Parts: sequence; structure tokens; C-alpha cells
Amino acid sequence: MNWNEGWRQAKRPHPSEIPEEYALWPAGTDRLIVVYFAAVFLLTYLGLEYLGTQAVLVAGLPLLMVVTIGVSFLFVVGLLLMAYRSKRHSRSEPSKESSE
Amino acid sequence: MSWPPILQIVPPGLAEDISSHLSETLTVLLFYLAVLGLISYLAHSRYTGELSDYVTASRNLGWVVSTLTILATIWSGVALAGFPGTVHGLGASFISSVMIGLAVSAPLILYFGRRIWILGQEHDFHTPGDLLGGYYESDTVRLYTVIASLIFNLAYTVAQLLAGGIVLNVLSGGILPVELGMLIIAVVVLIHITTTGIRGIAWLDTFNGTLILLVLAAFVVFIVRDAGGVMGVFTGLGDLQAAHTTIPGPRGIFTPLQTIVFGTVFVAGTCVASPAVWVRMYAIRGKQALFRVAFAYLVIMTFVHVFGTYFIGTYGRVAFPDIENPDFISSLLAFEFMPFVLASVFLVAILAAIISTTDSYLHILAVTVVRDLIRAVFVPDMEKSRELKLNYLVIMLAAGMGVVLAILYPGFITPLAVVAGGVTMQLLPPLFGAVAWPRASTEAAIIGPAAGILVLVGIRLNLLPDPFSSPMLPGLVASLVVNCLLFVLVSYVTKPQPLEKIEAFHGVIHRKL
Repeated sequence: MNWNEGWRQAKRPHPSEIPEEYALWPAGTDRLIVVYFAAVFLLTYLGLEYLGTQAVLVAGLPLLMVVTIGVSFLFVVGLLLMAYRSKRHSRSEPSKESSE
Repeated sequence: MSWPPILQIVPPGLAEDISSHLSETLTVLLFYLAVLGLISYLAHSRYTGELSDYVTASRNLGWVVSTLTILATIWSGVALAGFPGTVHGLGASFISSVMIGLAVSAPLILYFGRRIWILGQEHDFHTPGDLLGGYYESDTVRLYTVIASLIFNLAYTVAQLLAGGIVLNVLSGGILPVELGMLIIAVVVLIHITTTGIRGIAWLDTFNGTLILLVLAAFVVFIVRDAGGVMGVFTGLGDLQAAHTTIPGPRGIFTPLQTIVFGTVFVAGTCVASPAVWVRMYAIRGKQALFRVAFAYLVIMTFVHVFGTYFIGTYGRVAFPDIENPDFISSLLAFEFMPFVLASVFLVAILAAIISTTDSYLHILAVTVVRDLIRAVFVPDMEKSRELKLNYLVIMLAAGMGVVLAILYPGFITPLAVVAGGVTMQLLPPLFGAVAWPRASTEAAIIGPAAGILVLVGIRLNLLPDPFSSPMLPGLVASLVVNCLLFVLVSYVTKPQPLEKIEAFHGVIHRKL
């Protein structure tokens, strides 16, 4: 049997030695995208709280369903923002994509 | 033999109706099996017989196939029949919650998927255990991925086999016993997986996903026509309309917070941490393709759930308000409002969803057991050709075990499946650490998921109280919160991984993302 717990012998650094660019909290446009999704979450909650409780049909569909489709749409917009940001990033540094 | 109600997804009484039109139904079924055989043949001709091709299709799946294989894998036959049944009882609030969860999962698939893809490409990873065991340098963490995969995939495989046996029994007009139906599905799936690998699975998923989409679209056209327009589907609810079309729903379960939490936690577990979806991230042709996958996934799922699941479940409530088992709704409606042949195609579509889920889960079950347990712990110098043969053997054993469990313990599967989903979700914090948070430590990756699983099992066995009690998510939120808190806390009081390991994971992601 070859049970491996290599981490017990490994030389582990002080947390301050971790390169800053690998930090969790994103920088630049990435930060805007995180803020965007957080705002969408808040809007989702407010939409459910104040519109999702209304028994009204809009264009034949219950308002709750319209709100839900709206949430999906906002997430689609978020995905497009991520794609746009990625495209710009790869254009500015074309060599990074060569491995693909 | 009494089957658990949740898996009896088509009414047994339909078998009598079908037996009077057996030739039409069998023609539809045989046509589907012929297409399945053709796809197997075509995929087999592309199959190289090498381990990498078997597990990750040589990392060459296009975005359309990748999207549909993810959809068809998540979208089980039980869900195809069960979700409209749940809408029948819980109304729009349930489907709203599911859709919010799917919307959240799309950027998560993109976020984690691109990182998983980069690391898979860089280090030749094939399984979740390769990534997590590799980053944390721990076979304990690797073993968690095997346990999660084993419980999750076996539980859901048994559930699919049971449901599939019942569907085949009804489709054959009651001629095929349920047990024989399960055996037939197991054999068909075994042949398909072992002769084509994941490419064949993905191609079949593509066909099955397309079939399901087309049938659902036709279904909704017939429903709207019968209701006299879209509005008629909802006004037909009468006095129930207000409660059925708003939150918190007829039973008062879905408050706005519950709606968001149920969707996000439930879907994150099944869509992002599912081992079968994880392996598909490795198999995609390029990381940019994941943008298209996430986009198409969200758009298709929105279409399916609003105009498929929701309309069927709601109109089922109008047409059959006092049904004995709500899971019968979709098949009863199909035979009530669609031509007989089209209704038979709908039943075959349920079977297709069952086959798609079964083949994906059996495939990944064998891959993880062989690679992350047998190869990593017992035979580290195993040759790739031997690893591939062992995969075939484990798949046969797992399929056989699935059929036996389905026959002997049918009632045990549903509660096990809920726990299995919860166990799999415990991999999310370690995954987050390995691809996004270099401060994470191995101690945290060992302690967090273990504590989460203990809390989950404790709540399920009523040994612990559930502070986030929800009838839809027993113990899942509490176990994930405990896991996340401990993961962060333990990481902060211990040291991170070695710098060269951080460089090999976070550094590579930073440079290639």
C-alpha cells in the first residue's frame, strides 16, 4: 500500500510569502464583475420579495416567472461581460493563448 | 414489489393503454435503440482505445457537444418527470428557485471550469482526485473525492435503473418485467461505455438532449393549444392561481431567502461539484469554449424550465388536480393531449434522459475508483492499458451492483441520493482553495469536508438539530456552512501549501487565464 501524505514532510511557507498577484480579491475589471453579480443577487432578492408575491399575469405569464426570466437575463449579461473582459485581456497579451 | 413513489415516474396503468397500440410504441422504442446503436458505432470508429481518449476524449469535445452532455448528465429521467410533479404541488416558487440556482451555476461553471481546464491541460489531470489530491499532497483528500464519487454515482445510478426499468415496463405494455428492464438498460449502457468511452457518451447525450428539447417544445404547443392560449394555462388554476403562481407557494415553503438558498446550494452541488461535470471540464477543447458552454447552458435551461417543466406541471394541476402521485403528471398529460406516437416519443425521451445519466455516472464512478483509489494507493506504477481494462471491470461490477441494489433495496435509494448530493458538495471548499485561494491548507481540506459530512449525517439521523431547517434541503446548508467556516478558520491557523505547489496551480492559472 502506498498511502501518500506528502504535505507532512513539505516545506511550507509563511503566508506573507505567497505572491500578491494570486490574491483572491480580483483587481480592475474583474472586481467590477464581482460587484455586478453581487448587485444581481440583491436585485433578485428584492424582485422576489416585492414582485414575486404579486398574483399578476404579465404577457400571459405570472409576474414571478417574468422576474425569474429577468434574473436569468441579468446573469447572461454577466457572462457576456466576462467574455468581453477575457477577449480584451487575451488581445492585450496574445502569447498567453498560444498554448491553446 | 412496492417501488418508492418518487421513482414510480410513470403510471403503471398506462401499460394497459399502450398494450392496445403496442406496435406503434415498439416502433418508436426500436427506432431510438437503432439510433443509439448507430451513435455507438460511429463513436467506436473514432475511439483510440487509449486511457486518455476513454476518460477525457483526448480533451477535444466541442462546445455544442459539451453543453448538451452537461445538460443531459444533470437532467435525469427522474427530474424530467419529477420536476413537473413538484411544480404540481409547490407551484411557480419551486421552479423559480431551480432557475435561480441554474443562473448562479452558469458563472460558477465558467469560473471553476476554466481553472479546472487549465490545470487539467497543464498537469494531465483526469479526475477530481488528481486535482485535489495533487494540490493538497494528501491521499486523505483524494479519498474524499472517491467516497463522494462512489456514493453519489452509485445512488443515482440505482435510482436511474429503477426508474428506467419502470419506463421500459410501461413502454412494452407490461410485457417486460421491471427487473428485466433494468437489466436491459444496464447491458446497453455497459456496451456503449466500454466500446466508445466518454466521446460516445457525449455524442449520445447530444442526441438525447436534442430529442428531449424537441419533445418538450411540442408538448408545450399542445398544452397551450388545449388551454386556449398561454394565459389559459394559469387562469385555469381558478382559486388556486394566486398561491400557485407566487411565492411562498401553496405550502408556504419558499420565502425569498429560501428560494435563493435552495436554488444556489442545490444546484451548486449537482452542477458544479458533480464528478461527471468536473471531468467534462477537462474534456472541453479549449478554455474559451467554456464561455459558449455557460451561455448556452443558461439559455437552454431557462427555456426548458419555463416553457417545459413549469407549463407541464401547472397545466397538470389544472387537468389532474387530485392525482394520486404528482410524478405521473407529465406522462398522463402527454397521452391526454398529444397524438399517441408523440406521447410514446415523450416516454422514450424520459428513457433517453435515464440512459444519459446512467452512462455518465457509471463512467465517472469507475474512472475515480480505479485512478484515485486502486492506482494511487495500491498499484502506483500501473500501466495505462491495465488501468483502462480495470475501468471496464469496475464498470461491469458497478452496473451489476446497481441492478442488485435496485432489486433488493429500492426504498433505500431516495434518502441515500439526498445524502450523496450533500457529500459531493463538501468538495467545493477544497476545490475553491486549490484553484482560487492559495492561503488554503491541507489541514483545512481534511478537516472541513469531514466535519461537513459528519454534520450532514448527524442531521439526517436526527442526532443533531438543523439550524437552517428546510424541507427541501435537510442538513445541506448547515453542513456546507460548517465546512466553509472550518475550512477558512483552519487555513488561517495553519501554513499554506509549498510555494512550488502554489506556483504549479495558482501561478499557472494566473498566467493562462
